[in-house]
Amino acid sequence: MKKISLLIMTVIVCLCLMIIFSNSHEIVFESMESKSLNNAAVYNKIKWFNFANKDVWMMNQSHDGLSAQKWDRLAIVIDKTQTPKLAKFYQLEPGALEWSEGLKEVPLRVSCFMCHPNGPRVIRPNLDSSTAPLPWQDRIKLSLWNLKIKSYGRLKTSAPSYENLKAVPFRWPDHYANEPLTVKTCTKCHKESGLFARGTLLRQNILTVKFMVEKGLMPPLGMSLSNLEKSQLEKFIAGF
Amino acid sequence: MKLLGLILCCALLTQTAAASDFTCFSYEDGQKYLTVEQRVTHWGNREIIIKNPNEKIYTIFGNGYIENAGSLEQEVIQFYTATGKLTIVQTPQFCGRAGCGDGPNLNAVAKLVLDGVESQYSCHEKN
Repeated sequence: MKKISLLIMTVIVCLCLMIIFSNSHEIVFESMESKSLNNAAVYNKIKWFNFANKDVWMMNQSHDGLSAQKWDRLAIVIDKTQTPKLAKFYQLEPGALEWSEGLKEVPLRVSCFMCHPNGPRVIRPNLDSSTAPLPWQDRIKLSLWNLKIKSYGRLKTSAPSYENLKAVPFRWPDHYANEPLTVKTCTKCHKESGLFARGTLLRQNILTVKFMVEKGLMPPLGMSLSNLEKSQLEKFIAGF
Repeated sequence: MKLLGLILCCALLTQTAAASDFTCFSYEDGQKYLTVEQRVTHWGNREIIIKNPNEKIYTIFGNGYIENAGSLEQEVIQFYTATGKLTIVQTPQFCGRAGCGDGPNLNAVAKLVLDGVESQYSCHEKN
């Protein structure tokens, strides 16, 4: 009986490893978080490339439906040779999700740091999407990818080296946009260093903060905000 | 004749429309700032007044255009003088890839080159 259990466990682990390390397949899904300006669905295609010294997360994103001709092509590269690891951000010319060195960069459309103060974030598809339903294999794969993303811990972030006259800044630089969120329960993890550190949240991150709190994704299971903290957070989100 | 002059004067005045004005903060220290005031002249030209930290005032002219990127639409405005250039990239709201919303009212970036000196700013529209 023990042998059978062990065999089943081994098969499951092997399957999971096969799924997580198979680079050939991109996952297409409707985003739970992202909405276009007219509140329409935003679609993402994501692919992960695993190299010895780096992980490459590539994404094609469409704000104009699944049939859009041109999708915004983006990449986050995790440099695993550094401690803490370094997340480098890229906006690339539209194209396929295939990674190679020297892909042509284009100006950022938006500031990456607004939503990514700590590198790649957990991938959250709309599981009820009728336009881009997610097969069960892809759900498993996304769950495993999310574990991988969580395992990075605290990451340093780096703006694209690419300079352009029209480039939106990687991170808004002025004092007001860099005021930190100081709600005590949040800062248990959203701080610069420590075991569960995920980086300080700033005023420019409030769209993401708002989404996470409103959807009940934050604070995480087992943590809650006091009434005073709720009020502090509301004020911060409101800009005070 | 006087009446005609008055009508013409009124017509020119009504054509003068205020465009967006910006307050911009330096990339370097987030403190040093410049103010950008745009206006359309009586003759329909767009002109821009830049007041930089040294209290110098420049008036330059130029045109803007919309770069369509779906919901991430950007307006790019470029102004030129003989000695300088100002580029402002403006998005309609405080926007990330996930969407737009009320935020720190940051929706523009500016790059100014004047007399060979280059500086970058993040800006917000003055209310």
